Amino acid sequence: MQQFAFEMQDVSIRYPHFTLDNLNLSLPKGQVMGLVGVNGAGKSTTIRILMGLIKPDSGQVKALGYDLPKQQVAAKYEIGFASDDMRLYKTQTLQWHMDFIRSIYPAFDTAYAADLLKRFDLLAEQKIKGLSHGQRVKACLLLVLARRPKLLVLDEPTTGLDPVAREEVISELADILLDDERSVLFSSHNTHDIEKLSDHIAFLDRGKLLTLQDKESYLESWGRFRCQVTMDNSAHVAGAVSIKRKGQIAEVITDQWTQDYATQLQAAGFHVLEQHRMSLEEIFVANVKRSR
Amino acid sequence: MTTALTNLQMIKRLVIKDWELAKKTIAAYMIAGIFTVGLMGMATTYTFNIGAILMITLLIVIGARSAIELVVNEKKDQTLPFILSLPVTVQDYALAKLLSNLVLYFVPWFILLVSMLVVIVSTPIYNGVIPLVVLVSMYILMAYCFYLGTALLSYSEGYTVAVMIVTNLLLNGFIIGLMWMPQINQTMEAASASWNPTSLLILAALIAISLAALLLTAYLQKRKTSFL
Repeated sequence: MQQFAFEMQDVSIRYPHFTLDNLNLSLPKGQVMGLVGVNGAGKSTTIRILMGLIKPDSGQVKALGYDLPKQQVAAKYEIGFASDDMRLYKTQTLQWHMDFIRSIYPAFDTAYAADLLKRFDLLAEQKIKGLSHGQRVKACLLLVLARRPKLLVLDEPTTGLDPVAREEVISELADILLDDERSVLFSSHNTHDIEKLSDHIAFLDRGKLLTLQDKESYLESWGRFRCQVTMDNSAHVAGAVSIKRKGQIAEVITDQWTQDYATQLQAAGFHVLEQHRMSLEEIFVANVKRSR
Repeated sequence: MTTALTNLQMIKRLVIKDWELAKKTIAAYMIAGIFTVGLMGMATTYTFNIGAILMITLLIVIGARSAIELVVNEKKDQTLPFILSLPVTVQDYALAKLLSNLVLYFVPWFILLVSMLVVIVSTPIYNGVIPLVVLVSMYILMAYCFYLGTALLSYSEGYTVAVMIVTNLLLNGFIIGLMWMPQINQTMEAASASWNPTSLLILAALIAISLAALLLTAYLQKRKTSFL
């Protein structure tokens, strides 16, 4: 039987202007899931439900075998959570925060924390108010990672970072994730980050889960074809997510790409000029447009 | 891991954390308190009245700082997600906040009140003012319970400040009301404190309202389903 780091079953919550609708989401242990969605898609709500910070109207949530929010205290000893809206106490030093966290988590790894300090180029005695946004993000990650959580939940950790700081954080995170057998849920509207870190992709839009699939097979299933067609050709092609025509040129996007798909297009009267694999960002946009 | 003992340890840890964050400010206020009590202890009508006004201001400022800095600013400065990511429920967090704020306010409040009473008893100041001093101090504590509850339930600076303004405006009315009461007014220049049924009833009412405000806060906090 497959073991899950977390499972959300039929989870729903209704707000005046937003509804998270019957969400079913699960992550096998030891895997990294990227939760992708535009702003307001429901990523943070999903994560807050997973952390026991919001009680859903219906549905069941389990993380590391604990029922949430009922057993959140026990669960939070094993879950590390960081979000873009998380700040540390600005009048205190990073060392004060490390001591605070160490007093709570018996598994806090002081040697690992010291190593992360070097890798993130941080000073333990520096007050938080003197840190840049990028350094604050790294400080939060240090405090979360050094407690060696079994499940790491990161809600848009790279939001607001300049490209250099973002790349540094993502690179360090990728290295750290390679070293450990942690399960990770990582939300972002930045598909590049997700593409770099994730094993599984979950697309959320307007409170609905559009896709939940492993990254490699998901990326392989999408393709874009540039074709020449006759003006009167209005044939539908099986598996096409969208067909955009401009004169005699058509762009066909499919989520059922195979070696034979070009042949299917030829048979339908589309003379294939070029074919491309799609980036996660292109797939994300096509997927959202299809769902709306 | 989820035993009450573990949660008590976490609640205790959060209270200590608040103490560590607030201790320098509290120390500064206590120094100001010593100065104010010293002023009152000079035992002239002028210095006593100035000292009393300063003391009322100090008690209000300590409470306001406590509720704003330790509760409202936790949300405003976005340190709340950091704390709620720790192994606590929101109810644990709210209880820790309630306890830390009560301790960090009640202890200075109590020390300053006792200091004032010691000054009154040990100087030529009429001991008859003791009920007035205790009742006004108790009103300030009750007002603190109101805006602490508002801060804990709303995390809103606006609502909390609004409750502070209203309760502090009502303080003037409360003092004037006490001064108009013959049972309070006519005993103020007595050599000893006169705790008559009226002053005792007012004191009991203030204590009961304070406790009710705290219990209502705890009850409403428990009913909340969304915390960030």
